[in-house]
Amino acid sequence: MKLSHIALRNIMRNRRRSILSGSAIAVATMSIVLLFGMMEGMLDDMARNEQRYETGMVHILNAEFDKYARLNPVHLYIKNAEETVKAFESYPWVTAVSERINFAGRIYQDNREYNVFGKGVDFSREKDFEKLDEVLVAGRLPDPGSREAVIGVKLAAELGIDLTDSEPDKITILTMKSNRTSKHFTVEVVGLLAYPVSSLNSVTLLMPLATAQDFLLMKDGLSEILLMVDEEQYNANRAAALLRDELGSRYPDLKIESWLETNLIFSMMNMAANIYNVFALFFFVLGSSVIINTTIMVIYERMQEIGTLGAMGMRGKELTRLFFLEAFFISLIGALIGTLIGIVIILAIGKSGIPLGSMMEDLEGFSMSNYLYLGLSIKNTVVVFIYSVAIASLSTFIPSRRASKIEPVEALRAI
Amino acid sequence: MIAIEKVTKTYVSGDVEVKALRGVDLTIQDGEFISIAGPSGSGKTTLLNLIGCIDTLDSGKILIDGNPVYDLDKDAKALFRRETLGFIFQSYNLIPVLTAFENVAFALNLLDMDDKEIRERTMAILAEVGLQGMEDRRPNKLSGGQQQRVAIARALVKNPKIILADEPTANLDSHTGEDILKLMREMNEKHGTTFIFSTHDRMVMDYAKRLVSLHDGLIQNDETRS
Repeated sequence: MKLSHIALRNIMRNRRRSILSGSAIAVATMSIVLLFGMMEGMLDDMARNEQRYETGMVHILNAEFDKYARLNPVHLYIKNAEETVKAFESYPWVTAVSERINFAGRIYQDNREYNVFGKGVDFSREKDFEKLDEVLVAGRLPDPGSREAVIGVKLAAELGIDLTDSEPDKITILTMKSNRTSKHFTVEVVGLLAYPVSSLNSVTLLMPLATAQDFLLMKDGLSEILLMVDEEQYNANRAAALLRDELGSRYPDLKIESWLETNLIFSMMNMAANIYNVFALFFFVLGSSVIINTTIMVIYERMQEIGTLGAMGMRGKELTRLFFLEAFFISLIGALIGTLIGIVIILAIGKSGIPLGSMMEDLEGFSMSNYLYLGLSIKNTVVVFIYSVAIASLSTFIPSRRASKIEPVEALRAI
Repeated sequence: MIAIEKVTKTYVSGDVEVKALRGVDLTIQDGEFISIAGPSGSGKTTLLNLIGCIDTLDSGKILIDGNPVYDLDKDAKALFRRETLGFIFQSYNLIPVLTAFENVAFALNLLDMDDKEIRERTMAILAEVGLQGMEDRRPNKLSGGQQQRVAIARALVKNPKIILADEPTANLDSHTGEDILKLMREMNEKHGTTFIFSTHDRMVMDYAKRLVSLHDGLIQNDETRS
């Protein structure tokens, strides 16, 4: 009969108490698994949205653009775009490229004005880059070189465009050309986009790249080049650094940054995720308080048994191990159940997401979807499980050690 | 042989000092069946605890086979008890989550014996104390007498040199108590194990081959019977 067998049987001596102790650990573990799952899902979602719609994994633009970004500096664009794109695209680990012209504009309709964030894109590339098939909810994508556009569903609703009538839906946009003079142009809306990021649906307009270049006098120019890279070979930061090293001197007017360098919000959230480790520690200690109490009670209740075992020749460290093992098994079972419940919840609702309603609508620059997705990270989950068992077990080590300090003669006198 | 020389022990209970032993001298030969008798508070349990190395003396010496066991550290005392001593308690003190077999076998587990030998020795001793067929019962499914038989088997199974029994029949009816005493004496004669037991029960004293009477922490009488 090994100590571990006795410890396992002892757990069943007071089932309710053992279940209560295990449940506290299970709840703490499950909460942390969900908390980390939520963070993982949120960061994954933000990263995906940011990369698809905003910056790519590597973002290339005119080095001066950011400095004047608030002034809509359309004149600060990438020249010799075709040759530049080819140079960046030549790396085999660059998996996708997006060429974009960005412009801010306004639509005046029925004495109201609507802000537009326009993008001229090469739809043959953009379709894959932004996964436009996933967000195109009505109509079709514009033909190359045409005066057609697709717009966000919210903007369409505000403009009264639903693409159901046979009449063409046309909108006129006032914007600024690259020579800093104003320009208005009219496009026909042929499709509607429902982005997962709510704020994009109110302002986005996509039109063919050549048309935008033509309207804005940016022949062979681009506002930005976005790259996706094969992460198995290079992560975004390494890829950007490599491109800076190899192409920086050839294109001194360009700024080459990884999306992580560009997106401070994401970097801050990533840092904030580390704070969750501290929260996790507090949760675990809180969950462990029940099992600490149980261990103290158990030692008090089994005083005479401690005396008997001591008289039979069990040493202090063996007695400590016996009580420690009991707490360890309860912690192990509790943490395992908590982890499994956490995983089941993540798998059950993680993919469909939790609707955040209108909460995200006004959060510009915060590329989070309207749904909160939960992400399951095997590494994180295993760490949470081990962390949970370790903290719960270690916190019972001190009360367990008390068993070794009790003299058998005193223990045998206990009633 | 156990040699007890001028042993004193004083307890402090609250503000009161209780002189449990006031200089006891006693020699116990191997294989004796000896009763330490006396009224409550006479010091008999204290003397048993000191011989059993579960309590510490204030002055004097206790030598077992010439070894100054009183001088050992806590772990060494535990190992000494594990190998040399067996205990029988008034309230049986069986581990409730273990079966009769497991309670007895646990004494051998502590000695790191192999499973086969543990099984053989445990089954043999349980049969000797009359518990054949009850090996799988937990203590709550055994009568008081049966539980004390398990306790005797647990004490005997490792062939200890000495068995210390503190009022072993106090919780049993007279008939069962007599059965237990007969069993203890039988085991003493069969295995040659030294049995030292405390009691204040006249019937129990009658079973002893040697009767040492304690009074107020001193030996009042020491008689050997035929």
